[in-house]
Amino acid sequence: MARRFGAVKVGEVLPSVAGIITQETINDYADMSDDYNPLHVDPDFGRSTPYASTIAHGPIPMDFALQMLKQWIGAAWPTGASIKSKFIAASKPGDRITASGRVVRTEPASSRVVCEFTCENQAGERVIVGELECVLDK
Amino acid sequence: MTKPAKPTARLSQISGSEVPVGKKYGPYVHELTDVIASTWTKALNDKDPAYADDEAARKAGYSGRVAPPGTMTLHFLKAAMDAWGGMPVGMILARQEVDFHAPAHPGDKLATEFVIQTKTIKKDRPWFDLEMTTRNDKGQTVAVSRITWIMAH
Repeated sequence: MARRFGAVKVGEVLPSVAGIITQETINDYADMSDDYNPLHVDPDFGRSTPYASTIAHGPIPMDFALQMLKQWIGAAWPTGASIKSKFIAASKPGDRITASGRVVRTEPASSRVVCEFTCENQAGERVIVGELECVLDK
Repeated sequence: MTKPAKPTARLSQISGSEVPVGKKYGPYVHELTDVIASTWTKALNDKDPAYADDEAARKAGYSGRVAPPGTMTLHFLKAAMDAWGGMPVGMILARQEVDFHAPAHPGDKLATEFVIQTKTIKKDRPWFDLEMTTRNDKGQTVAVSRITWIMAH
């Protein structure tokens, strides 16, 4: 059921989405993107870097925020929506990433809704901060 | 059990001075295959009936199965690697914005082009702002992304 603009309140909290990033998740992303940078897929190389580990491609943790938006608005493809992400810290294999968000602004003339979001790891460290925007039916 | 990753990194030694502001790249065409769409849903646990079933997708108002929107990031990365002969060594993703337009469907051949918009030097490293546009084979815009990448040199 698609969410309607009239039912949205500023301050409303979006249902969070969480997931664990594994090395297999990262390897699958490498297979799909052809980005086999050893910093992502070679654990021995990763241990030799300041990260002391492989790290996930940035779009992997970002997808949890995108899933949160899709589930909240009730659309498999969020036509007219956007995600704005600032990457603050790396996500590593074993990290549990939780995307959380809340509505910060509504624009009745355009039925646009703006939400802030964060993606945090299991230690409560923010790895991504940003905004989600969508246009809902009246 | 974790499967071994393919050891075929496409890395590029391109430097910031070889990426001028205003330069346009592409279009680079890649198919959004069924395998990619299904791998994405499993790997990211990104599930929706409209990703797996044509009838469910039509009930939701689409013309057929749609792809998870996160798959657009794959096309942006592939376009950069096509343009530069691989991912520049040491490049870091600092910011990414994605606008979603017409839905993408498994089987779509998507064309991505991009332009370098600005370049700034911070802490001796070049920061690039790019805008990428991905279109389907009907010429419809599927997604637009603004990306800030930090290159190593």
